[in-house]
Amino acid sequence: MSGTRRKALLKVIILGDSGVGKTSLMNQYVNRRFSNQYKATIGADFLTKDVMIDDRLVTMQIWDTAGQERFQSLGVAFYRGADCCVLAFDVTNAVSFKSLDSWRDEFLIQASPRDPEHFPFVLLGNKIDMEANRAVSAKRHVTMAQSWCAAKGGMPYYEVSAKEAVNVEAAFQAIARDALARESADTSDFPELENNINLNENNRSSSSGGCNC
Amino acid sequence: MWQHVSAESTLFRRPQLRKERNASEIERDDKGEKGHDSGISSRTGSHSTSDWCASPSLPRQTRHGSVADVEETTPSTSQIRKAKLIDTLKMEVKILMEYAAGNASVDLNSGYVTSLCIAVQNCVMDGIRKRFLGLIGMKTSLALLHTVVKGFPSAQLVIDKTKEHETKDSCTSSSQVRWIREALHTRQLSTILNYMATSKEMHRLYDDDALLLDRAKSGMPAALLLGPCAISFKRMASDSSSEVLSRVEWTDRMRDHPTNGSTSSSRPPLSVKRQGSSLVSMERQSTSRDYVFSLHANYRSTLLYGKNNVGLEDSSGGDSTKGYLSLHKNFSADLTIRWTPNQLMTSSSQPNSATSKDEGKFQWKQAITIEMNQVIYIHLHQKQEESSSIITFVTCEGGQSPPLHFPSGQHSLVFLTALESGLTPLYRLDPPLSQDQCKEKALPRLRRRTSATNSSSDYVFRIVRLTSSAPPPPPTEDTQSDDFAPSVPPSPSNGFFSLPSSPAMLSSVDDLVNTHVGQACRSMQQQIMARAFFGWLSYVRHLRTVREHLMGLIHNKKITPEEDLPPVDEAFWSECTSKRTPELWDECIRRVYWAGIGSGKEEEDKALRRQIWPYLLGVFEWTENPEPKTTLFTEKYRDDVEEWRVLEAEVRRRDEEAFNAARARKGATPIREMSITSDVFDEDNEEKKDPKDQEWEDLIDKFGANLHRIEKDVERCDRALRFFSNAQNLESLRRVVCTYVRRNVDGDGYVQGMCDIAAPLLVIFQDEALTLECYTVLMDRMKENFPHHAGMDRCLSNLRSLVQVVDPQIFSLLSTSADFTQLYFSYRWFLLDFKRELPYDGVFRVWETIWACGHLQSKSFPLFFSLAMLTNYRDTIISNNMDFADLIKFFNDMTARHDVTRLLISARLHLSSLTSVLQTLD
Repeated sequence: MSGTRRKALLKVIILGDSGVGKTSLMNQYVNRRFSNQYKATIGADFLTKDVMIDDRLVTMQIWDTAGQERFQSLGVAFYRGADCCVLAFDVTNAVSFKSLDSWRDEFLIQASPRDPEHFPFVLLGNKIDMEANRAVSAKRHVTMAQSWCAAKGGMPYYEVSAKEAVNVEAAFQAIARDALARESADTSDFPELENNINLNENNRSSSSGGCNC
Repeated sequence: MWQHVSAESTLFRRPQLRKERNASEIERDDKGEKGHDSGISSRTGSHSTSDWCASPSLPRQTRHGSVADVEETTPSTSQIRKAKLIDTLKMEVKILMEYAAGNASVDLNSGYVTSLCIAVQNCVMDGIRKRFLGLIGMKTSLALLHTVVKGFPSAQLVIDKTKEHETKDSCTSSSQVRWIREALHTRQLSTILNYMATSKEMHRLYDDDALLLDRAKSGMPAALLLGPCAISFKRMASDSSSEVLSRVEWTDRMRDHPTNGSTSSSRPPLSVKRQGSSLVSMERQSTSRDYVFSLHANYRSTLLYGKNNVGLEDSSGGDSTKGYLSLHKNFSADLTIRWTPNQLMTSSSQPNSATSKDEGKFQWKQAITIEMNQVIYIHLHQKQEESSSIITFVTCEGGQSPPLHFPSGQHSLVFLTALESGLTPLYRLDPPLSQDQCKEKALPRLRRRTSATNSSSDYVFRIVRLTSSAPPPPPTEDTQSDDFAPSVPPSPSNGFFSLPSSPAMLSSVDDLVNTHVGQACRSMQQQIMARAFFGWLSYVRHLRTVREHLMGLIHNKKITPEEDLPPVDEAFWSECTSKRTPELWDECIRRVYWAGIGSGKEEEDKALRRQIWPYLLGVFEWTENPEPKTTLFTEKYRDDVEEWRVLEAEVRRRDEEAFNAARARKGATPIREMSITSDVFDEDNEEKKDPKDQEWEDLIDKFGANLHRIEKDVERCDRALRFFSNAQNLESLRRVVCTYVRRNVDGDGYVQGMCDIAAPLLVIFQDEALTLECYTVLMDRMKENFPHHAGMDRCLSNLRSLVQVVDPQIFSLLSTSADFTQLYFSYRWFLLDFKRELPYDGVFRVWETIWACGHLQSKSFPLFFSLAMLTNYRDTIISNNMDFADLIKFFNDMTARHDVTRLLISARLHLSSLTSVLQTLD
């Protein structure tokens, strides 16, 4: 529990093929707005949002990057220090689902997190509002995506619509919770950090108002 | 820690004060009374709330050696005050004991005793309750003594003695310390102080933080005074003159009291005013005695050499006066040579046998003091080895001392040996007297080395500083070179002879002025030099950066002065199209570069740009009529579109097939969990194709992938703009980009951002064929900046170099990472030539400036515009100490909010200043 107080900023990276709706997802979650006039993202941009997760205020910094794999070389700069990675695909676009493997691998290579096996990923299937364009039925699609997630170490999967704000809030809440849980798991992996934090806790409780030095 | 420093500073200050006191003895300034009063009041008035010293864990300590241990902890104001009191007392005891060691008996009325008495007085008065003083009605510590007597009867003797002498003296101002003096005389001072520190009766008279109640320090005064109480004192001259002297010393001393703080105010005035008064002449006797004492048996300097009957040649020539020569080394390792006439020595030791005033004055004028740190040459003239020799000192200013006549024998050599040893380790004589340890051989060796062939020999010794490797500068250049060698002592403003009328004062003032002004000047010089050097260094580094990285940015190093040209308007353009002279081309380019195209009317400007841009981009030659080529472009474009239309149709057909196949398979095949991806999305049919069809298939695949990417981007390209809210215009854009990709199908294909570059061209030309031609030319340069090419790194690297030269402050902010990632906020700038950063009219303006600049001066105008983007917001960036994310956010938020005109002016300025730097480099 002590570890959860360590960091109040969660860096979340949204990855996925061009046009799957990364910018829309980010904007829908942060600004609760949808526009069909978002331009293709060049370089990177991010939005921040303060959220309460279990009585704890967390600032989510959500990074939106260019979708074309050619721009992945920039990733090393943007992925640095990420706490969670959101993989997004377009449920009406089979290719965007196929690319997920490469996006995940590329992220793990470039961000090189401490513990790649357990780095928190979340899968979002966007554009469920465009049911008519689906190549496969929703039910089957869910099964398919879920089994992919299971194969990747139990990654959570959410079907969302950025356009109609379906499930977006819930998905990002879960993302934040996941990243936070991962945070505390991280600290328990490093006992010396835990000790430091305990010391701080002790200090906090012993000194009422101001430090002793 | 703290107190060590303060104690040290007292130590350092003390000799200076002593010097000043010597001066004030002569010129009698009695402003001290005031200082004394304030000293008392500030001392008794200071109350400290600290109870640090009362900490029970600290043992009571009486030996002052243990003070350091106590002082390790945080000092409070009262602790500092007490430590200062103790330090002062220590100092006075030390001085007195040193003095007493060299004298059979000590005059009870001497300044040393008075100083000590003041220190004791300050100690016993520290922290005394005001109520008590008011009760007694006496503002002196004598009242304390009366209290002491109640519990310590033997102190009665001191009171009696004090009363006895008090009646004799008219001077009441010193009565405050009289009892201390008498207590010292009767050797009871230590026991009295011990009683005061231990008796409970006394404790109620003091505040809690009083020195005498201090657990650590209360015993120290008594312990310190054990020594002085063992000295045998005698009353030498109990006349009023010595009393006045001690009074002045006393007041002087009061002002020096540490609690008073302001030591500078105690410095005596420079002028000697009351010399003619009888008071002064009365004082002179004791003063002169003190002076002579201080000359030769000084507490603060070591006597290295002393010799009587050394002759000093009168400045008027002729006879030499015999006197006492001494060589002293003081605490700061400065050597001083003093010579005093014999008469003065005798008169001072026997004050009552004083000669007449005039004679005394004359003798005083003869006494000299030579500071060795101002001496650069020593001349030794010796007729024969055993005959008398003459030594003259030459100062760094070229002044000569009167010749000193040494009696025959080895005296001059002994003197020089003492001088040489005194000069070490900082200085040495050149040539050295002797290179081995055997002193006796020194002069013969010396003679062999330096003497002339004839019997009379002249030696010149130079005083060389040992620490500096460079030889000392010749005297003529001394004042100059002095400035650059901080270790050389400052040259004095006036001569090195201190006038005897105020021997110590002048030198002390000189010292002060020289030391402080000299130090200040040197430190300023060093700072200026350092700044100049670092300025030069960074300039040189910048030049290197420029030479190594930025040399190639500018192809035309001719500086084009800023021109106040009108923009290209319709009238000018029609002149251009009718004449098409090279001069007009030149003017047209310069007009575009400095002022742009059009006069602000949207549609007319677009029409003008439509005509001029192809020339700027080099699609048309200047002398060329656009019509024939335009027709060609249109025809070719139509053909190409027709050609890829076939491909597009095939791609569409296959897409639909795949979609339907997926839907059909959904119904037919059961779900196979483990191979879901290949199952659901695998639209490839397994059939093998003919090799000749393979090429076609590859083309279809490649084009299909590009087509999908293009469609995704065109769909969302500047939809907010009215032009692209029209679906037909979007379709035009799609066709242009598709044709471009089809023509360059073996290149990179479509990369995100390409559509952004095509859009403004289409908005201007509204002609797909011409747009494509211009786009192709533009992309020849721009595609280098797209991923998997080297252009972007070059841009970022150049931007970094430019920032380094232009704005080191921003540079330090940007260079926190070794790679260029810190500069990624500018990635989009270079990729799209600021197309995303500016509104469309701004993009037009910047683009045509970039193209015109390519003809005029540099192909790298985007770089200078980027620099302008950075420097324009430098204050915001620096004050917010923006990091990687902040910069990205800041510039993303600034999208379409930039002041294009201002940025262009700034960019042009950056370009011309780099041009001028490059010009100087050539």
